[in-house]
Amino acid sequence: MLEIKNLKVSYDKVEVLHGLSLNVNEGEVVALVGANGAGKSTTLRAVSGLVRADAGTITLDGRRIDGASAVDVTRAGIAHVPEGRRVFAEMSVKENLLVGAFQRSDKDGIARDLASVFERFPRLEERQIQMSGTLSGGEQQMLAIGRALMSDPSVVLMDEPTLGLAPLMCRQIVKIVRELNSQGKTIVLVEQNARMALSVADRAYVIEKGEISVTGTGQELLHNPDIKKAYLGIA
Amino acid sequence: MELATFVQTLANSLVLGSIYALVAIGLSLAFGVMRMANFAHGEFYMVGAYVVYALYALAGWPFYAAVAVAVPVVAVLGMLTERLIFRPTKSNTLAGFMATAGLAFILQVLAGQIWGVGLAKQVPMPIVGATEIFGALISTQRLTIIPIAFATLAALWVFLYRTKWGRGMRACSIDPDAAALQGIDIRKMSLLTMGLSGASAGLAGALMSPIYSVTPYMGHGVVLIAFIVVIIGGMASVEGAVAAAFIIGFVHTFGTTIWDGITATMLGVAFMAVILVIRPQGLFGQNPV
Repeated sequence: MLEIKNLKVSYDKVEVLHGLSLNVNEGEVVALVGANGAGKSTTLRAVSGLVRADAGTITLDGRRIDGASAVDVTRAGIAHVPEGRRVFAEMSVKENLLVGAFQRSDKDGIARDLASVFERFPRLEERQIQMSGTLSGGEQQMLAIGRALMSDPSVVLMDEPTLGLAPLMCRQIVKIVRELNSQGKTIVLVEQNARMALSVADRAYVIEKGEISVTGTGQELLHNPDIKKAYLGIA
Repeated sequence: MELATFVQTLANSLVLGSIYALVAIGLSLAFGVMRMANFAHGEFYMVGAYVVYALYALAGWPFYAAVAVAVPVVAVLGMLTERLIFRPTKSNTLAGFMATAGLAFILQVLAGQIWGVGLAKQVPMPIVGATEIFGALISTQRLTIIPIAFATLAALWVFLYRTKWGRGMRACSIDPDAAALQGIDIRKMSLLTMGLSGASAGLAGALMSPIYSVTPYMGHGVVLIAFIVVIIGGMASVEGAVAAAFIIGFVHTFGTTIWDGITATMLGVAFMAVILVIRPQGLFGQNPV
């Protein structure tokens, strides 16, 4: 469904992705794990059009989306839950969700999706008129996910959704990822918390210094001795 | 202060505050969405006044018809500024500042070349006479500015808080990257913002043309005040700009009535300095800069 081939991206002429290739099939949860600065977030940012690729191709259902703007990528059905949540702090919870549906014009569909986000996250419904900057980290993460869902995407890119959250909330996020996936969303999950990511992923890629070093199913990688040592903190 | 003087000063404060609010809100919207300070904003105000001068005082159109033309003319000027200056200099804030400062001079010289730089142009009052309120006689023409400005500010509020594009505009001003991820086209939004910014400055200039003298340099003083207002209110905060505009309107008018114009201006700047010390992000600003 989503296919990245030979992707090269640089920031200020310093190349950070050196020809990365990966693919995501429809209905999968694919995790990208790796150390800080390995290029996981950059990969997502390239997919959603926030950074330009120097070389390589990105296709969604066979159509090229590299070089497309963030607006076009959103319209094509990819939603991006950015690292650090990036909710619009001085806007209410409900407004944040409505902004998530910015490029849609089907009023009934928007109302239906708003109701389903509120059903999924009752906390957000209780706090819909509250400024989103006043929410807790976990609630903001739910809001960021809800906002992404408001564009009615087929693929959801999640960048570090558990970063800075309490363990209980992390488990909640895992549950949400599973739920979304079982409801038909394809998910690309970027995580430093490799254990969490691998346990929820169908397949995973380990990114090291801008390239894929290992790939396999989530379970395979969880039991791979090298991965255990490098990313799971088990000798 | 006698009641009549007080009422008169109060009315003048509201008029001045309304004009400051219309000018400052455009500056604040543009800064919010594009993080660009438009130094030609005062000249937008000046062009608005000249359109009324040309169509109403020279060509004999009805006053409000001239105002109705001034607004879209300056809106287009704002959109051209976005397209020709802000978009190409997006990655270089300083270049944007310098280019708009250059645009300010170009517009001043153009107005001077077309209509002359000598004596200030007099735009006759469309409504002659005064209205008596609590014994104070207040120019009716001045009073008409208050409802027009309030209606415009209310319309802007409804746009920003109750419409999809207004919410999108606020989202862009809070976090442009996150807004882009929601499918908001920042370029279109910047164009719209500069259109609104120009329209509100043009309206302010058009409304003020029969009251203050029209010269190519009339925007200079106004834009300085608008910057002060926007800094007091919080750079990207629309509510802040409106609140600060009325505060400065009151400070300037009451200061001038009680002491004199220079003292009033000093008080306004001193107020800004105090705000910058105790609340650097401005009255309604969110993030300390």
